[in-house]
Amino acid sequence: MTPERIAALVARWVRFYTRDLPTPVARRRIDEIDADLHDHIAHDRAHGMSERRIALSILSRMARGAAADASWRRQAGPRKGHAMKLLRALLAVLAIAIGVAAIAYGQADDAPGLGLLGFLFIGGAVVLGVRTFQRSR
Amino acid sequence: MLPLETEILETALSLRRSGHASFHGFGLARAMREQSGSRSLTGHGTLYKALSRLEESGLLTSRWEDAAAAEGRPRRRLYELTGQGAHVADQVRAGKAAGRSPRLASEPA
Repeated sequence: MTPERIAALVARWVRFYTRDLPTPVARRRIDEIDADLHDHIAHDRAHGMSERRIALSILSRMARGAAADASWRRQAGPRKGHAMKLLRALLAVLAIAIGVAAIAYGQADDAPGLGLLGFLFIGGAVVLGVRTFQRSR
Repeated sequence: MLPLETEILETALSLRRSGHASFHGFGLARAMREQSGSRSLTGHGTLYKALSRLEESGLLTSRWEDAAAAEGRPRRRLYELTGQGAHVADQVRAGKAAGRSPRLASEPA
């Protein structure tokens, strides 16, 4: 897990949730996050932070902002039922993946807080999945 | 106005008073972490959604950094407090200093 790989994951996530938005709106968000990721990696490296900690920090920022991304997406573009369901499903899968990774890293680092964060992500994903399922019925 | 939005305005005001009139997303996230004493930076989505709302409210304005100033790295979006934004930030700060809940009007009294 390198910072660049996690930054690429974030960039893909941004491109995913901005698709179908008007080009200037999508372009601005994509370029702004790209600059943020670049600045984040450069700053933390300059301060001697380990590659793994930088990657986790970026991953954590993406995960903690994912719900706001989805909310912003709803406000920025026309509501599209199928697209929103897909976005919610992807968000749930992403949250589960991050949750599992956080639990694994939490155990490896003996960091119970990180493990708890992982369980919260998985719990949140389950709630999101159930709500999406109920709304689709 | 959300607590994060008032925090952004207060941090922007601090930055302006220390000679940094404009700021970018990551720089703001760092400044907010330092001011709050938090260990983590604000999430991407949370931060940029709040900045977007503040800009729509007329409290911040933004522009792209000049390509020449970027020196090969991705161009930053630079934000600045508007006069109205500075006024609201002052109100928030004064409210906190007086030990009461700030009046979060987005318009000058």
